[in-house]
Amino acid sequence: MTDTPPEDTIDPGEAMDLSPRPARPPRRGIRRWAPVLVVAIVAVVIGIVLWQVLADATLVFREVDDAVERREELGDDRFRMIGSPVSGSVQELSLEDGRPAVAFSVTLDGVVADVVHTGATSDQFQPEVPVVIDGHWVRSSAYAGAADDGWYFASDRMLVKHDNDYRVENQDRIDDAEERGQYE
Amino acid sequence: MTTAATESTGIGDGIPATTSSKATKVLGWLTLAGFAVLVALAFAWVPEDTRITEQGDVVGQFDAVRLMFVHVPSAILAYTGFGLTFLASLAYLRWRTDWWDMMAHASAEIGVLFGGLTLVTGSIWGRPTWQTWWEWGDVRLVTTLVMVLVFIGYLAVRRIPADVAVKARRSAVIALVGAVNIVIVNRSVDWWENRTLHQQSTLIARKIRDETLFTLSFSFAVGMVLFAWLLLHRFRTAYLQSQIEELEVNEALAERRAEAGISESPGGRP
Repeated sequence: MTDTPPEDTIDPGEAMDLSPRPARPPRRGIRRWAPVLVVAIVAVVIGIVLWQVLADATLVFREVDDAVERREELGDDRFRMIGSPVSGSVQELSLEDGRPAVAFSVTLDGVVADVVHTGATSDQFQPEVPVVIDGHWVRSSAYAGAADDGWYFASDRMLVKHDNDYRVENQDRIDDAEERGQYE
Repeated sequence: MTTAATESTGIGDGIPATTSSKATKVLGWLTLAGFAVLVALAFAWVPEDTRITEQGDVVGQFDAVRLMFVHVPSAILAYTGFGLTFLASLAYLRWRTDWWDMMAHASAEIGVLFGGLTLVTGSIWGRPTWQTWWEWGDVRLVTTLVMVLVFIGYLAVRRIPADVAVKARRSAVIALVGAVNIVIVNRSVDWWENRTLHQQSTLIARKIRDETLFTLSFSFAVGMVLFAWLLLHRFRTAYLQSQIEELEVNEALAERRAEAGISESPGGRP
């Protein structure tokens, strides 16, 4: 026998310790820190994204008229220029060092510039569909196009900026072109 | 919530056993039927994008244009999800009810889902159209990515252990701040026209042929039905989760009272 009374004789109001239990020890391991880790990773990724945006100053597209006007000032700085390829100006050629290239002219607001492009061309490289070309000015008359002003833009990367026009015009002419096999 | 089944869940009386209801079943079937019709319209009815220039050149995006019927509705649904999160967060901060907090949480998850889909389909569309999968520094692409990341962060913050009210208040503030970017994303193509490859709005400019416009509008309608279906299910899941957590607390209290040999009073207090 002990001094402790049997359980069924305990007075609930007096014998039990009803003081609050100590708090459970904090959770350990990955479950506790995973959300904090995710937030930290997301914050770092957002920081990297913003840094990339701010660092990539070459993304601003200069329009053809602006690029032509500032040609002397730009020198051989690398930048991106946007303009629409002139219909009928595209010609394939071989550079002095043997590399294949495509020469064409681009225009915007009535100003024309000649381009010699050595990179890949887009499937969407089409007349009147604006292209963004990455490169620099070269003072030379070696590849004279529609502009023929003693300069050409040497580019090695081409992107296409499609406009927001999804209308159909001249359906009969499109049908004729399809029949001629101009496109499939 | 009133139409949900209320059979026994084994976790408590009066708690629905499923997130499904007559309304969600109708919405689910409408979504499936709508998708089937949308696929037929997009591939069989809408012609490819072609135009002919004054010089006689045939230009356009051709079949790639059909990606519009997934990409554009995804973007609209992402805006809707994040916008609803903003409104629900605002309402939570005003009225402090769990209902608004759960609504904000549910719509943010759906917004992230469609935001991710927007980025993926945009990238797939960008390759044949722009000649690139992704362009760092393109304001439309990057602000969209940031918008999705902010709301992923919002969801992560909700997972940090904290008092329910603290967690709800904290995430509501993040949603309000993050929502500012929704406007920036939407307007970026007009504000920084020469810093993005992304086109400006076709619908505002009304430069779209009738078949394409009809199918695009139909894709919005199907997307909205899908959104409502997802939102109802996700909201009910959140509600059930909160009920389970409440039950667990009540069970723990009951256990403590049993240990103490104290009977529960009618008012719920010993």
